[in-house]
Order: sequence, then structure tokens, then C-alpha cells
Amino acid sequence: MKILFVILLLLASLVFTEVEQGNLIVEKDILVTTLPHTEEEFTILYTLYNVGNGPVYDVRLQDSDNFPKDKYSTELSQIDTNWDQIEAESNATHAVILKRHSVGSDFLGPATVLFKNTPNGQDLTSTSTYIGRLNFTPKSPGESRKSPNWEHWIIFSVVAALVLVIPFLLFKKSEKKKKRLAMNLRKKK
Amino acid sequence: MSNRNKRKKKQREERAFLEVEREREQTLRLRKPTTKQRMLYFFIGLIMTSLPTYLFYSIYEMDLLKSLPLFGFVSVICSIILSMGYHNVSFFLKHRLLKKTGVNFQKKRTKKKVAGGEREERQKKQLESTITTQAVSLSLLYNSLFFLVIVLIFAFYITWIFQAPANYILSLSVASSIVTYISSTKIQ
Repeated sequence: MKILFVILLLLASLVFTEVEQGNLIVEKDILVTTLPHTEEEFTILYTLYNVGNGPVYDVRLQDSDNFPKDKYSTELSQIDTNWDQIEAESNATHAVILKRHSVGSDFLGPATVLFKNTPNGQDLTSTSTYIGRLNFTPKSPGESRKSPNWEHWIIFSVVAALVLVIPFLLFKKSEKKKKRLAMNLRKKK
Repeated sequence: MSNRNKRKKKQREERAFLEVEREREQTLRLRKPTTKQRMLYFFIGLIMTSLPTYLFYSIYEMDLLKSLPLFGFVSVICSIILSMGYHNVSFFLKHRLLKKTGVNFQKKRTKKKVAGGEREERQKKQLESTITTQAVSLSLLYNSLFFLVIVLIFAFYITWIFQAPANYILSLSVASSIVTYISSTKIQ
């Protein structure tokens, strides 16, 4: 997918260098190491590359149709966004954190980006890459058990050790005192 | 056997019976925990039950606010069960340690005042309280460690197949029950 995208970028740059105008190539990617489950957050990253030799104006990213509100909820940011201008040979990114609430399978298709080559010009359209079909299943109870969770175990071990060390030190202290007292009493006999 | 010998034998038997009764009464008196001991055992039990609670909150991702009533209820019940276990083991250890010292802790009932007798009694009391501290601290250490090990085995290897709340209830209640049951067999 990435190689195809780079090739597309090169071709586009070759085609559009003659006329001073912008052109957008949009990449849509999901940033996860394992497939997301229901009620688990995942991040979608949109990267817009202006491969033209001129800026693009009034850039609008639209992708709400792929994430209907009855199935998905957004955390911290909205899916649709806009930029006033993207300079030539530069890029812009937009990240969205989402959560799916129900079990199911969705085809996450391409996002649509509308932009203009001049401030008052016509709207042009670009579509992004797509993620494809994702199956959302509930998290099984064994999964969090299997992951390392090192920091939680370290905290637990430290607190448990502290709680257990105190009676041990008390025992050692009273052992010495007991020996001394018992010896004194036995001597008197 | 003459009457005099019979009377002496009877007196000896009575004295032996009274000694046994006195020892039994002392044992029964020691077997009940004092209020201070009860509070200490309950407090330590509460700390020990809150440690696995942290693991369930962090690893099994149980919502803290939603599960707070469950955490509170189960912790309190298991702390009460654990406190019984703590007292059983400390009572058993105290008896063993008292015997091991080789000192006679029973008060001698004599009419004559023995020189240095008061000082000796004071030292005996000090020794007894030191042995009590030792027994209690050893009981807390042993039972707490035992409880934690059983909880971890149950929570991550045996009852992990259940949902987190059920797993929490089962692992803590079974662990505290096993600890208290084994401690009660020591006394018997």
C-alpha cells in the first residue's frame, strides 16, 4: 500500500510541475498494533500531501459517512475538519480517536477532500486511500491477563513487599528482646 | 491403704484437677481476641484485600466508580474472615512460643512473700507481651503471604475464565476461606 502511494506521489509530481497549481494526495491510516475491539479506542490518521507547485485553498476533509454516529463515538476531536491553505510541497495531518460500541464488521472506505486552487476558484475533489474491512469483536477476559502489564505488577509487588516487611521487622525486634528476658528469668532460677 | 494415705491421694488428685482447670481457663481467656487485636487484624486484612483490588482495577480494567460498592463489600467480608485466621495462628504460635521459653508463667499462690517476686512477675509479663507481639507479627506475615499467593493463583489461573466481577468475588472469598480454614486446623 505504502509503495503504491509513493509511486502515485512521484507520478503526480511529474505530471503537475508544469502548471502552477496545487494537488492533494490524501492518505488515511489506522494506527493500531492489534485489531481494535469494541469499546476500545483506535486512531485514524489523515495525511494530506500537496504535491503541486502551488498552494491549495479552503481544504475540507469529509469522512463522517464512514463512521456513523450510532456505531462510533469520537474522543477529543471531530472527524470532518478544514484548513485555510496548504502550501506547495508541504503536508498537513489530522488525527481522530474513535471508539466502536457494538460488535460488527465495517468497510472503512476512502475519505473525500474538497479544495480549491485559487481562493475563489472551483471546488476540486481528492479521495484518500482506504483502510478496508475491519471486524470489531468484544475483548475476551483472557486478553488483558496475557499482556505484560509490567508497571501494575511492579506497583503491586512494591506495596505488598512493604506491607509484609513491617511484621517481619517487628518479629525480629521482639525475638531479641524475648531471648534477653527469657535468659534473665532462667538465671534467677 | 490407711485413711491418711487415702486423704493425701485425694488431695493430690484435687490439686492436679484444679491445675488442669486453671490452664483450661487461661487457654479459653487467651483464645478470645481483645478489641485492640480485633481492630489490628481487621485493618491489616483490609490492606491485604485492597492489594488484589488494585490488580483487578488495572489489569482486568474494572471500572473503579461503578465497582466501588462491590470492592467495598467483598473487602470488608474477606477482611473479617481473614482476621479470624490471623487470630487463630497468633494464638497457636503464642502457646508454642510460651512453652519453648521454658519459663513457668502461672502465678504461684503462696502465702509467703518471696524476695524479688514482684520483679520476676513484672519480667514475666514483659516476656509474655513480647511473645504476643512476636506471635501476632508472625501470624500477619504468614497468613498475608499465604492469602496473596492463593488470590493470585485463583485470579490469573483458575477463575480468570469468568467475568472480572465474578472472578474478583470468587478469588478473594475462596482465598480468605482457605487461609482461615487451614489456620483453624492448627488449633485443633
